[in-house]
Amino acid sequence: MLSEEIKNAFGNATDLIVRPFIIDNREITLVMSEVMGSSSYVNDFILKKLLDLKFTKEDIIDELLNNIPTNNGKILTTLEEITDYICMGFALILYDNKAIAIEARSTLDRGIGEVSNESTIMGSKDAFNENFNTNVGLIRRRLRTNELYVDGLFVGKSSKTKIGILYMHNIATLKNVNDIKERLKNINVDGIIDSGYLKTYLDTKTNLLFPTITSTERPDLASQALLEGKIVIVTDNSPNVLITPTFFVDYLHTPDDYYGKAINTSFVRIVRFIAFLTAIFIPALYIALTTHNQDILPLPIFLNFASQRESVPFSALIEALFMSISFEILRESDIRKPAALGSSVSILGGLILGDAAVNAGIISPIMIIVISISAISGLAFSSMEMIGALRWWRFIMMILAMFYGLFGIFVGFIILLASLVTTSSLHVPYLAPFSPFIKNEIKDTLIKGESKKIRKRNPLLTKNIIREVKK
Amino acid sequence: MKKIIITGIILLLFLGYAPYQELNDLAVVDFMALDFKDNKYKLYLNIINMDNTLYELEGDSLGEVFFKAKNVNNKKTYYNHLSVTLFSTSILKDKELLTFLKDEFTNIDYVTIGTKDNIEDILDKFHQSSEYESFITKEKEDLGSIINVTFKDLLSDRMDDIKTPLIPLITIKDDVLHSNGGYLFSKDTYLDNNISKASYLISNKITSYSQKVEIDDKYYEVFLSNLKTIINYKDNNLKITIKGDINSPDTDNLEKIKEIVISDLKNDVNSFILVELDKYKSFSNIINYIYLKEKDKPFDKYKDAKKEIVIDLKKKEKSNYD
Repeated sequence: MLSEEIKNAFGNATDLIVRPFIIDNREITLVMSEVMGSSSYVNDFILKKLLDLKFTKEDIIDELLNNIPTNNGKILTTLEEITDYICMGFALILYDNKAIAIEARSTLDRGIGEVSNESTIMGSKDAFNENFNTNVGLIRRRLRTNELYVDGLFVGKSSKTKIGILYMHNIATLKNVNDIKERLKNINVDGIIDSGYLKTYLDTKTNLLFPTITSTERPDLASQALLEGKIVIVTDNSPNVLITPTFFVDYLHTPDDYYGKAINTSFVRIVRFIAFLTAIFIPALYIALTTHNQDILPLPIFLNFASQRESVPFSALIEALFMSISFEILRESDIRKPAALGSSVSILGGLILGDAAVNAGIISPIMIIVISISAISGLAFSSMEMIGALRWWRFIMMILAMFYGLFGIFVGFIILLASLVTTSSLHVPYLAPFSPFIKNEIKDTLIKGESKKIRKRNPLLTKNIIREVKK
Repeated sequence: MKKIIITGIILLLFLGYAPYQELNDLAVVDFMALDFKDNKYKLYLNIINMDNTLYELEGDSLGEVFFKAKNVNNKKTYYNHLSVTLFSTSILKDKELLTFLKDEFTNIDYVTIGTKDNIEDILDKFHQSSEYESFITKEKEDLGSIINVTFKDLLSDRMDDIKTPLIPLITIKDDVLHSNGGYLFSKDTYLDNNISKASYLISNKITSYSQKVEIDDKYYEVFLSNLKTIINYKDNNLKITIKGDINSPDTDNLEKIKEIVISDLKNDVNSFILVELDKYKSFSNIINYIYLKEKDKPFDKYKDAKKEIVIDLKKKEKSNYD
């Protein structure tokens, strides 16, 4: 019996419903997953119809398929197919060792919520959720064109996660699309639980620290990326979609940038770039100036710093590392702590401990200022991976500054620059449009030109570089 | 392979490890005084970050005394913020002094002054750089008898074939600092305040000063400003023109005051020329002017030239008190 085989395949799982019915003197069995399928939908639209059914033809299966209202019904023949469809939330009607799958999925997502990690002042507030269809729909709602292609595939032996590769057929480079498809097809793991898993397989690993694939929860950002010729990867069960290729300057941009005046955007972007530099270099500069290159410090500042460090028993590097790691612990506990604890951890850590450490003579007040400025600057970026990269580079620079002073920082800067210049994301240079220099793209880097004047796309991403639509 | 490269880079970094120095482990010297007395070198250091304490060290040689001063109170002495040095005239005669100091310190932009007095008498009252700096600034603006001469200036004058370094001198009277002319230490020649002032004027190192003028047993304050010296040398004629503005609160006697000031200035410039020619060493820019143009026995030309001194002072419309 097919129903017995299905039961055995699922190991008599408690969430598997196997319910035989006698309809018009024929035994028909309904099989579905209690958790994946919608009981009310099955009761109201499938069972009601079935119970009233009078069979007139010999081919019962065909008659069943034609009489049950569904837009997605299929006759299944193998046990493997049957188990797959049960897991996807389909209701199965079995008769004579044959099965019909009827879509009866229950809604397991949380609906369209607000953006939580990439918040902006202007622009849309809706965010992707864990539902694949919702996520694709949020993008389709913004790009109502048949040129938006959605290529799907399933990855993961056990998870069978649905992955959608979205791209504008008339803009994106098909070679890149095929490359992505090929990489995804070659993934041979038991499960892909979140889009984050895919990064490892898509990343060309050209840079150890800086992110080369953008992860976003914003449909407007994903839609904008598609129009630029980038490829968006939607993963079922993940509220973040991936965008590739990505440039370094993308991390200095936010969707807000395109909704306001260009002059204000330019200012904010410069501030973000300063934050990038500050996050990496400020503690290192402090260490270099106080341990090697003291002659650069004007005398009043020299004396001020010296007096603040008078009772501190540690070297500047140890002091800076201690503060940086304390900050990282604070940040981590802030993220993980239950919301009910409110801001108690931040207050305890930031104010009470900081003040006590200064009074106890373990840390100098200036070091608290230096590390705070650096850490806060790092938080000007919404990408966790960029924050992580800044953190590593901050530590590298601090160590170089301790050994070599300003010379060390200069060497570190050269290494940083070399690392950025040699990085590529999906065959595209990471530091473009600075290296290689692309004149037209400069208008949308640190300084932003008026949106209406940005008429061309990045030639590294597409051959269809003209944005203007001819009437 | 990657791990090996990374380990190699880290090892290389440690090979070049340079010992660092924390700020609080440094004794910052802002003022230094050097004396040579009873065949001993005496070094006085004001440590600014140790409550402006004056440390005194003694040695048989410059090297020894500076070696002793390497650490003060368990802190490494740090000279990069040294801003004033005071030398006794006895130590300035030491020919190796400039070379030694040039090699010893990377910072050579500190102000140098000398004194004929017992250096300890001055240091009892003044041993902070700010005290000397404010004194020089005030004295320069008020009397024009002293200027900021840095160690760098002394070195460059010494390097010049025909120039001799002039170091300003100070003295202490009734617990107050005063300028005391200048000292040509390579010639062991002292200049008085007026000749020093003439030298600074001709070199355009001062542009204003004030002086007291006595008329009929009464004193009047007079201000000279926007002073500029122009030197011309042509056909064996040397013309020194000093232009500027003159102003005095006593406007009724201004013409008379002006006459006296011009006469004083002419005397000072003449005296200065005489000293310069007598010592056959330039401490102004006149000889440089001739030398650069002629490049051949400049002192002979300077000596034989017909000298004309023109003082052109105009009444200043606006009072100095405005």
